[in-house]
Amino acid sequence: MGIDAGYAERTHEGMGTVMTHRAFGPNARRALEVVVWRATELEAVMSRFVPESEISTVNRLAGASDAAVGPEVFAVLKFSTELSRSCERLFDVTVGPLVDLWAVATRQLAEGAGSGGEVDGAGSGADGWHRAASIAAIPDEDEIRRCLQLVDYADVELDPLRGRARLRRPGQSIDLGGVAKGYAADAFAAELRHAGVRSAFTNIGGNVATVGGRPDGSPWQVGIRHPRASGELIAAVQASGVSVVTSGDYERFFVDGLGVCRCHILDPRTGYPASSGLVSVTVVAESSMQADALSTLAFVAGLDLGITYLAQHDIVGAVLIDENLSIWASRSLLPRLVVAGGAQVRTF
Amino acid sequence: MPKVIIYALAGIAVLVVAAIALLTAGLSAGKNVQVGAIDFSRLKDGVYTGAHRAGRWTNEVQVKVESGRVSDIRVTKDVMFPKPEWTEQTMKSVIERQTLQVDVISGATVTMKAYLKSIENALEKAK
Repeated sequence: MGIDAGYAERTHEGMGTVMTHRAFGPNARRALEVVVWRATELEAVMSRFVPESEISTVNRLAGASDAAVGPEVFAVLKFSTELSRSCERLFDVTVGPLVDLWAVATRQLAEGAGSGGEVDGAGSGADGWHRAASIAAIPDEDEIRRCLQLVDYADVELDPLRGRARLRRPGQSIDLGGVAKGYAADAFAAELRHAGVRSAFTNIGGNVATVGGRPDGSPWQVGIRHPRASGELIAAVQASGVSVVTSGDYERFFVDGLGVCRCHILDPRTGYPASSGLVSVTVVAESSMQADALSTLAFVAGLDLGITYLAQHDIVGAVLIDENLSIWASRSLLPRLVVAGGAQVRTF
Repeated sequence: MPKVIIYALAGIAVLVVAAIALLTAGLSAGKNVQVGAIDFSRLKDGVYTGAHRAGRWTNEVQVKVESGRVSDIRVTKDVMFPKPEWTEQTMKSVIERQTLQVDVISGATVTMKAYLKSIENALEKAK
């Protein structure tokens, strides 16, 4: 298929971020229209900031009753709770109350600093942006403890026969930030393939999913952002038909009253922003939802534990970068990985 | 002055001129050489030979492209006075620069969002 056979690109806002989709082929333009429509549709059911969404309804009825959820939300909840069960709470979709608590603190900071922003929870990366680096008061310790008690994936009850979901305790809330973009990327890739597109990529706020390779058959080159040098890349991964998702502590961070730099990803075990010693985790996998969730999970887990958990999943590979900017990559990924500046790569 | 010395001096002068001509041939052309941007995103696999003719800077290289990427560069005919460390560094930087030639960046669009916000804030002031 040649480039001239058809090319289309769309960039738009949605799911709390910016998305860009590029597709090649005779049906490219029409396929992207479907993708944009799907983005709106998925946000309408999965965002907890859309009052009528299925997730908002489940959250509103927490501790009272169950609510109807469609097959897509059901699939995401099932995947998320199963992952939580397997990883000792390093990842938890019921992190909503903690996200809200930290978001209030950073919003106060942002307003004071004349900027704007929100903090996202473990698994929460979709809603809001933040790049203010000013002084903020961290939330009260008792408040953190109170919210932490509400975070428990085991309180998500799913009824597959009736298509319903429920949170057991009042005050609990689900935040799909760490999986929804991945699910959407998989859904977009499926739509593109269904439309006959054989060469495309979709980029949802840094979650990259590819359909096939470039029009000439060579793999897409997906850059991994340098976690400390703005505007630079630290490595690039060749991707054909796989997803590349990076969780990093860059960009969305703030400095608390004690001068500690806090990243936007919360640790659902402690209630505080993750500080595992990793500054960036990239996961390459066929499933974008899996790559999305696992990159957040490994980021919270840290190097050793992260590698242990990543090894339990059927992924193509991962690249972990620690605070000394040492690069750790899975052996399986080495043939597809190029690092900038000839930096040394340690393998696992 | 004996004729022998005159001939010798003339001979030396000719040699000097010839040497200067040889050593500087291609210098002005070389100074003005324009190296265009290479689109690393559209390389087809294969081994390609490229040459540049400019006096003592004339050289020829062989570039190997594997899986759409430059994997190796070998100098098949080197310049007259090569500096191995420069050669190595140049070839290495070409291979490394490929990393900057990417189609899409993972983990980056938060910045896009932040830029959009700044634009929005700027436009607010413009109202």
